[in-house]
Amino acid sequence: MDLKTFTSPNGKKRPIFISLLTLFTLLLSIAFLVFGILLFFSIVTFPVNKWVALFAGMILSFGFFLLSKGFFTLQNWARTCLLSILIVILIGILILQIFDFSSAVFAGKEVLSLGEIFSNFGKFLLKTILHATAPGIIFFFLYKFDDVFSETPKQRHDFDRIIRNFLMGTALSAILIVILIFFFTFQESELAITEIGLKKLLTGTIWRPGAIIGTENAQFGLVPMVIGSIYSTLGAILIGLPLSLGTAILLAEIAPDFVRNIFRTSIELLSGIPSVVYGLFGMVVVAPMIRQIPVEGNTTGFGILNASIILSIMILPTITNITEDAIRAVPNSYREASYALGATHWQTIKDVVLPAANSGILAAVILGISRALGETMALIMVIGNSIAIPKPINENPLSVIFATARTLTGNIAVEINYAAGVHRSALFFTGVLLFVFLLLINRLANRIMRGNKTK
Amino acid sequence: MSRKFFVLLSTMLVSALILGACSTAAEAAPTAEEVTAPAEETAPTAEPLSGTLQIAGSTTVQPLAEVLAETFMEANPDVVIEIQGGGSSVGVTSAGDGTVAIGSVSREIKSSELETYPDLAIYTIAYDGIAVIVNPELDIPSLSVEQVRGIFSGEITNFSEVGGPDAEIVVVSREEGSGTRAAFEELVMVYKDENGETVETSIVENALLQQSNGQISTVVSTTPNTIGYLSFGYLSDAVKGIAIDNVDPTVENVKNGTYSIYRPLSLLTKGEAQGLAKAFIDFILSDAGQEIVAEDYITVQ
Amino acid sequence: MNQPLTKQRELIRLKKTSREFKNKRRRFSQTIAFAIIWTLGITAIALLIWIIGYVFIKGFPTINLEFLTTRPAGGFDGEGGISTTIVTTIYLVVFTIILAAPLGIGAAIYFIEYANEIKNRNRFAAWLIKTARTGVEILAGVPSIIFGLFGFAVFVSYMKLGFSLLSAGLSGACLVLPVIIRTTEEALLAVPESYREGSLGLGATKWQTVTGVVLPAALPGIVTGIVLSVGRIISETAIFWVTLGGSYRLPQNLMSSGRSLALHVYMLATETRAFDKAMGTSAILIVIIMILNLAINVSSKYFQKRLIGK
Repeated sequence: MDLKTFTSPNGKKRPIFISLLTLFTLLLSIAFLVFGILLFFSIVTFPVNKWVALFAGMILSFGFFLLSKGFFTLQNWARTCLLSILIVILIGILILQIFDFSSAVFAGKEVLSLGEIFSNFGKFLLKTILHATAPGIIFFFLYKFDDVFSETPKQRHDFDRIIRNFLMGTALSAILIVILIFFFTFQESELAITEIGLKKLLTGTIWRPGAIIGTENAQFGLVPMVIGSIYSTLGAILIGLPLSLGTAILLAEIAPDFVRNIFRTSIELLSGIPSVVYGLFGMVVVAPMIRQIPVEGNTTGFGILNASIILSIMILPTITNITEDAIRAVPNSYREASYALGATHWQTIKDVVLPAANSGILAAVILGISRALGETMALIMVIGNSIAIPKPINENPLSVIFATARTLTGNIAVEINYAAGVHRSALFFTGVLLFVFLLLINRLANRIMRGNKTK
Repeated sequence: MSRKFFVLLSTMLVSALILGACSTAAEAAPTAEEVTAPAEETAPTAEPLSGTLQIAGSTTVQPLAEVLAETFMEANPDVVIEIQGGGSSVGVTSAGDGTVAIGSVSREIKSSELETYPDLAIYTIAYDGIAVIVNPELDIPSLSVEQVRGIFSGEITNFSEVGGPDAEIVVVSREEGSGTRAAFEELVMVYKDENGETVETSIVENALLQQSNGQISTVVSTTPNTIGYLSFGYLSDAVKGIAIDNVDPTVENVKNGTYSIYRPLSLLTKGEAQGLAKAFIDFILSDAGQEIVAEDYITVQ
Repeated sequence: MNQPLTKQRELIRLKKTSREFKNKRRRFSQTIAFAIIWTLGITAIALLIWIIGYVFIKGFPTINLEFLTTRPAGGFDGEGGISTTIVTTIYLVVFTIILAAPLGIGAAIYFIEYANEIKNRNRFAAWLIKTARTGVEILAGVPSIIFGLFGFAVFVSYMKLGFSLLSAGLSGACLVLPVIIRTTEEALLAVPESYREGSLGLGATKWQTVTGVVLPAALPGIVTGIVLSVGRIISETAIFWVTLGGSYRLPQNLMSSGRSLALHVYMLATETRAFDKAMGTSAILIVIIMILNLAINVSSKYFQKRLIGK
């Protein structure tokens, strides 16, 4: 076979550039093999396990050998492969340069002045162009020579299949992540279950992880945290449900269109506010306000009341949106029938529409509860984080809302950074508890909603 | 129109290029090496004067470490030191696990910790006092150690019992992983009774728990009727430091032995400190470093 | 109300002429009920305005060029600005999207385009796909602190990546994956079947159809999903609190730690007295999210018009 005049199945002559590429990839293949062998026998050193080096060398060498063979016979897949590799290299160069540029401009005490930014930008361009020249030229020419390459229909079919399997892999990634989460959190919590025991964890009322000097009898009872979570969620629902329900009825039935639009955009805005801002607001505005309430023993302004207030605002958009959708989903025929029977608008809403939207409203409330239970940062900032079971601060049992508490989520967030051993395992157990519980709640809500849709 | 825009854009790019080329040529040293894989820069390199150093742990040590790091980085411009908080226990676990190069603690290392991480090397860099603080609106004269103990354990519940106004006491404390808390508990909450037996009292259950010295300061300064404790380094006019047995919480009083609530601040490494970590620790223990320590803390000597 | 106009007028007429409506007592209770409902609704909006208004009023005065271009400097009074936090947030967002978008879009493409053929042929594959779908649903409901815990256990501790952009990005990608999958699925479903049939009829392979015809048509929806994820990442705190660390310097590479805007608000609020700066940072956060939401609204309306216009 005459190298220079080999013609591709298309009948085109192979350009010299491609021949050079073939040679280049062949050389790379040999180089990887040699390098791998050298590393294995420690003739050259590199901070990598020698078996890994040998293996990697062999694989890379084989890969590049295939690539060179592909170029020799002008296969399309070789071209696609090399193009993708080059794209990755080019993007990598770009990213590294951007990091450098960004660090130079922003990392100092102050951002650099415009002139300096400009000159740094110039440096960035210069370095990028310098580094990207070689890969870029190869890329450009390879791209241009596309009609020299060919592929058989079988190859196209195979490629399709490869893509399909690859995509299936990505689809399975979602379940892989869930499995990983299950696996890791369960595994980490195992120590707690064996050493402390489920009974003590779930029914114990004292949480003292045992950093107390000398005391080895650490206690890991989760009951205070469970009660804290329940109380704050309950409070949030008590305050938030009327508001959300009222707003939803308003938007779905009563308000004119322009009011509806204003409300809709506002509620969307509400749902976009980060939770830390709510926490900040609770600390700076709500806490002083609560302190003003003349109740005996009310001193800090932090506690369940504060948490309930800001939590209710946070779940407002969730409940309102779903409830409104549920109300709108009630067929108009119901309403018409009701009016025909002579009912007023309010009677219609009260006796016909709302009961019909029942399941949707229930689903909305459940989702709101799940959101409230899962909230972390905002609550840490306003609930006080004390480890005691919230108790009324004076004779009136209702004053428990002024007590400070800690939620299950807060427990994890506050202590995870430094927990070790059994303590850490107990925190993971808390996570598992939350995870499983919220899972069940969400499935329930989804099932109710789906049942609603098929009506 | 779009042609003009194109011309303008290319002019700008070319001038930026030229400017960049000039400034690159003007620089004596070449810029950093390129690697096509993500660079591994957290481990200290062989050359002690470049690389990234990560420090995590005590929030007490944090501001001190920041100041020391600033000076060190000015002297060695290719070094970047990143400092995080989390509490002394984070310092122990991160250093022991090797997650960070240096862990910081503001208390003694427990024997159980040494069991878990046997090759932990401890370098004491300073001593720091713990001050008992109250909200600045409270007018309280000095307190005795017994009174402080009573307040934090929940026996004393109203400020009027200790010479203050009639208001319920709100106790603010650190979370259990805190070195400051551990030191406070050991120095104040534990005591020997009449028979010479060691009695341990614990901090009251409904104390507001905070995760750092800074948080304690914020809560105590903005919430009325609160009492808490924090490191000397965080004392400011936002909170009121209480005198213990009529001894003010100042650095001098710790030095001359009249104020007894203090503890060592230490840096931990996994195994002997090496490379960049060693250079930094050496700097801190040198005269220059200790001079910086002496500004708000007590030096090792 | 998407009813034709005559139906609406009919309903209103029915409401106003019904027998009960003419009854004074019934009318009265309706008025009370509606008054209560209007009050509730207005209270909800008032709360929103209160929060945003307060944050803006307290926050905007602190925002100036110096605030935006200086690095935070710690200290009890929260000296410094937010320059590095802004850049760190950008790093974080870009990195997380790079990780999550290909995975999420690929998964959605598989579910919509390819899964149907397999379902009929292979029982095991069908079950696998159903489980994967459930997996996505489960992921969507997991609270963010669990992702943080997971990220801490796997990336920070087990894989020894430490507090870094890498761990934070990986954890964040897990968080937004369900969002991207869901929105991409919806976007793909919205592409008319005729597009696909036409392309296949011209002889293109499945993959060519997907990349050349379906994806471009579904692009607006996919972009919406990505923008939603960006918003989510920017507002998240808990998950980055345990994986990113809290250093206020700029991360030098993927293995460095840093501080995002939301995290900075948390730090400012709890560790310093600089509540006004916290408000300022919050104001910037809210403005960014507002702009993102606006972009989604405007672009979806624009693309809907284009699609319908065809």
